[in-house]
Amino acid sequence: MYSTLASAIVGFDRSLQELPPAPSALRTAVRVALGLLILALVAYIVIEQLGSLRRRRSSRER
Amino acid sequence: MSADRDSRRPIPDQVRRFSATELAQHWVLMVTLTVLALTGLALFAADTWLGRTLIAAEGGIEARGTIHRVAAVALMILTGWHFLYVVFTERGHGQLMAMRLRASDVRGFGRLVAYYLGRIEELPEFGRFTPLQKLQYWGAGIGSLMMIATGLVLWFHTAAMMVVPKWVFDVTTIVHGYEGLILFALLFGWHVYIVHLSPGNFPMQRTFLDGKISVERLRREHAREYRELFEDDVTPGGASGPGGAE
Repeated sequence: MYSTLASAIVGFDRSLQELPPAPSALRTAVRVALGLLILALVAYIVIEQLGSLRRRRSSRER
Repeated sequence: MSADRDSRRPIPDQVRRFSATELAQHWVLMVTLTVLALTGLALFAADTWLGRTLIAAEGGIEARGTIHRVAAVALMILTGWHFLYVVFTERGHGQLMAMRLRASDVRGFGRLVAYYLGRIEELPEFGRFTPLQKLQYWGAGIGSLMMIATGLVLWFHTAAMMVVPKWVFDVTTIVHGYEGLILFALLFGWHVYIVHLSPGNFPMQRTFLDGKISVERLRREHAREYRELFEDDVTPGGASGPGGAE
């Protein structure tokens, strides 16, 4: 049973790579959306870090 | 010392924020998503050095697929467990209700950004969950459900191909791959940053280990919940408090 399952899995993994690729427009749209999301996450981190740094500086100066 | 002062509840040093069940669910999620990400990335980037390295480390393409599916089944069981927990237990249902997205969360997030930009002086007040925590919960939750649904279509592709057209399979393949990348970025990048690496949390917040949070952090980051728990309390340093406080 295990070998049947394993060969099905291996067959699937290979067939997935052999399938005709999805339309490039779709891939591009998904990549752009993913890029924007990652950009937004990075932007938040930068804003938080800069804001925190600025507040630490101003509290030291007081 | 007045009678009024004596009747105040002492404020503890720490408050239990997450139960043992919730911590266990978090651990299972953490392990399954890590395994799924590593084994999924191996196939997603199979043509690159990273993919080849991961496939070799995971014992070859056959073992990779088996490990990925075992972790996927564990994620499905966890999803069922979490669903039962938030629907049928009082505590879980309360947590879910507190996680509901509200218009005030959008305003709260805007004020948080304004605070870091220096436009306002005071950190906005949040309740049990901050807008960022809600975003992570719903992002991971909806993302996991999408991964399970698309993963099942890919796993049982022969059966799926009999009922769905090729373009649905195309979209499913892309969604599963890129949704995995999004989850990876959201959880292993952003979530880890917010919980452990952000200012005030570095190098590690211990809540995921013991479920506890310091009262000082609760007062700063969840001011409304702090007031609900300790309303008129002003006596610091006590040993215990209400609602699971320790």
